[in-house]
Amino acid sequence: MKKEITVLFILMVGLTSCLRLDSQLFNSEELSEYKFDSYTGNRELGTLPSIYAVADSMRNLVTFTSNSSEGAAKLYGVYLGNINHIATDTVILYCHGNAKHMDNYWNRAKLLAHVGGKHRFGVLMFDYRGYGMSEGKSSEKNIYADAEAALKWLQSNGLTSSRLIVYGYSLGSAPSTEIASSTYSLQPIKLLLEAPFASSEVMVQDAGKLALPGSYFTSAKINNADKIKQVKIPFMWMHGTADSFLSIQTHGEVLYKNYSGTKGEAYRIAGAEHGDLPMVFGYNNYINAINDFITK
Amino acid sequence: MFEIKFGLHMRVLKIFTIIVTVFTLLACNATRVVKPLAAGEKQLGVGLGGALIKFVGVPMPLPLTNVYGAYGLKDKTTVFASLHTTALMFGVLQTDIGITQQLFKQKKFIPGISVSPIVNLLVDRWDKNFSMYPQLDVNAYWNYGKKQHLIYTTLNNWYELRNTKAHNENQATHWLPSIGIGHQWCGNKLNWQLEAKYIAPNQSNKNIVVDYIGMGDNGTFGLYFGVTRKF
Repeated sequence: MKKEITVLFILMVGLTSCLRLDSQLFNSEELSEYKFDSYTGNRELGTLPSIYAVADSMRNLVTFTSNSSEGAAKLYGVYLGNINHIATDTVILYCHGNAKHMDNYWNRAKLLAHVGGKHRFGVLMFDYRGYGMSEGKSSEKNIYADAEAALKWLQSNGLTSSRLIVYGYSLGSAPSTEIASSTYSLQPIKLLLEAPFASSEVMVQDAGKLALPGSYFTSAKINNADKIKQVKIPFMWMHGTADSFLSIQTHGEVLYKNYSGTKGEAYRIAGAEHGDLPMVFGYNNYINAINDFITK
Repeated sequence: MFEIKFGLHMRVLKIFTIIVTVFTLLACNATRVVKPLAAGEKQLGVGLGGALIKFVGVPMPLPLTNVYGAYGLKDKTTVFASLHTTALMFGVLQTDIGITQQLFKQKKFIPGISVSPIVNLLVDRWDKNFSMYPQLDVNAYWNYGKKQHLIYTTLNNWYELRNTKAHNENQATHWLPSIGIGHQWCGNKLNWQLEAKYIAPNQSNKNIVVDYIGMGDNGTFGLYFGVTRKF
């Protein structure tokens, strides 16, 4: 019996390791080349009506360097609009979700390029580290650094805070809320979040049904529901009532409830799932709602 | 049984969600002691299994491991304690400590009945967050055959004592039951255990990061294996 107890003790000490699930939080896919309209894989919103096309001449593949304590990495982004007009245009910084890369979200970027009319606003979408052709490895710290790198690129092209709008979708709600609630190179004047998550802890608790601490599973401290309390700029929230991935009740509503800024707008889209809100909302309704929020 | 969502967004949190499910959707092990040991008898066991998932389209139980020891205090009373080794690999010390008390002895086809009050304790090495979940198992069992194989049914009840969860939201769920059926084959030296459970049938399995496949929109199935040796 003593032998068995010794083995048990060794197991107990030896197995207490440093395994973490953080790397599993990110669902990136590497690419050797961006295809945009020519991309043949499954992607968000499927086939978009041709009226939302963007001319190749207005699609600019750009690169910039992201620096964090975990090192520097070359990132790829796509700017929809005329880069030479960034110094005078209002620009939407689009922080995409957790799946794959920019090709997956290309339709979404094109819709934003039609808010207020074709190329009324410039749109910058970028791939976080490890996504698409962007180098490096994803982490919570790095996606914030990557968003900062995108801001610096816009700033270097003449953008000022007074003309910056930030839009975060799903995972992108984390860097978007971070930018809007803390001090970064540029401070947005408006924040839009679509199907955001409240925190990594809510994900854990939703899945497990118990009020377990998130620290049991991940070191990620992503906590949009707390950070949104610091956001005072106008805020627009959209969430599908049928979101089976991030529940509107446990994620979106909690986050929206915690917003205490000057102007909050909520769109609860009946029947919309996690990935099809613009389609269920109706592309024109979606675009017009965003335009109204930005311009009014 | 559940299936991790493998859509565009749904592949997110692959292993993450599996482990979360494993750890938190209770019932991460087979019933420890169904029939109390004889006074002074000792037992060591290892367990493997968890909620059923579809992995590359094939249903399989999660390979979660645990070890435990039991000791017969009296003929009708056995104490036990465990260590959840998979949780330990992720820096979470998880144990369940309990006592199994026989209430009624088996009389031919009338099953023996036992109850096991258990406390589940968890603490992580990262933020030192501590959790405690009381549990009450009620078991009915039948010995049969020359080797006294055991067939049993079990009702496991987990209790969440917290009234609030993240962001001070109301923790509405306080009772998480699971029902199971199992069998122990008694060998010369080793006993083998197989148990199937239906976990949390009172809970919706919709609108969360994991696609559970239960009966309708509730709960999930679990499958567990165990090997024990008595001393």
